[in-house]
Amino acid sequence: MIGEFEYLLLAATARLGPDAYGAAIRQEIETLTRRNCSIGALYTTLDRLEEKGLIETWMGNATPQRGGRSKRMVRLTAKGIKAATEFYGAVRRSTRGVPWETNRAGGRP
Amino acid sequence: MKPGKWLIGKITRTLEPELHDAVAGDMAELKMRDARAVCELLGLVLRRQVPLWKTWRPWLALFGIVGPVGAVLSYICVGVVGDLSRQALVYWQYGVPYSSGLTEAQEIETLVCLSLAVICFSWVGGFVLGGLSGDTIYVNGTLFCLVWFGLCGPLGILIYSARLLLDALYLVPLPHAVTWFELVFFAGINLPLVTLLFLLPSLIGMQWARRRRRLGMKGTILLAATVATLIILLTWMGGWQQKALEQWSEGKWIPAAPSWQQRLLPLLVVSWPVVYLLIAPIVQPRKGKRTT
Repeated sequence: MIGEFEYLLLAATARLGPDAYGAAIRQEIETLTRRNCSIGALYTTLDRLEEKGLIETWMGNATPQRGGRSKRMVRLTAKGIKAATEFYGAVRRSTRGVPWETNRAGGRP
Repeated sequence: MKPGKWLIGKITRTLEPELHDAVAGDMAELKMRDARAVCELLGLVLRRQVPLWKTWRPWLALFGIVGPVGAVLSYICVGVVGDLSRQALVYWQYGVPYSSGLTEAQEIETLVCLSLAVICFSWVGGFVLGGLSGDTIYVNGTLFCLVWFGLCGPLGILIYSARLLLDALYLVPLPHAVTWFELVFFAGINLPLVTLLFLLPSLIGMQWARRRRRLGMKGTILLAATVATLIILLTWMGGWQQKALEQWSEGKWIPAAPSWQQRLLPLLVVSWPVVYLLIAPIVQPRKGKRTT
């Protein structure tokens, strides 16, 4: 089972699709979670996910906006999609009937 | 260049080339400010260092070389540089070499031998440190340089120069009060000397190890033979001073000089990396990927 931050990273990668790379993933996570995502956490987790075979990374093109530096592009693997699906399923199942879920659905606390 | 930008450049250089490119590019794209960028980069470097310290090799480098070899080598280096600068100062002021009781030939032989030994031990220390540390060299190398800085680099020199000047005043009755010139002379001559004898060979050794350059069996044996010869010579020469003082006082004063075992011990401490170089291929015959 993957961890919470690993899931966030996989989800951001999936949302960004072919435009998924370090800085873009970081911004996506920060925007959606409203939490700070440090470069250390981002790249260490990317390395770990790649070791587990959940993502693939490669060096992309350099742009003037980046001072001529290359991007580290990220793509989900089939194993990564499966792991993210399992995590999401587990979260959904474990959330069923809890107060915050009931509230969101319009129920009483 | 701003100090923050310079620091960021230095820290990102410790990362692998591809990661360095990706991280530096992300920072440029996100327009990250200096302080935050430095903190985040340090966080990344630390996170990447942690798994590297799960093996025994960087720990052996830290507790076997950075600590003991760094400290003992600093102690020996400060002594050599002190002798060299004392010679230079006395020669500068009086036009004659400073005599500690030894003959001129003995004085030269001792200083040459000691200087060569410090260079040799520093290089081997740096080489084995780099080989054992691998990617932790940025931590171990920095700590090694800090030992140099504190014990025989700028900080050590400052303390030693002051002490040496007092010695010089006592041993050589100077015709005038100690001048700023003498203080600057000591500091000015000692710092380049400790850099040349200790820091530079160590850094070259580390660089060799980082570039995965090998010595080969012949090279290692030659190095071990050189180190062994230097150790024997220095242990033997260390007794000259005592004999010289005994002769000078016509046997009336037998100074409490260190025994040959006491003279040998620090040399053995700083030379253990050579032993490691010799036994490493025997202990790990199949692991030929590392430098050492």
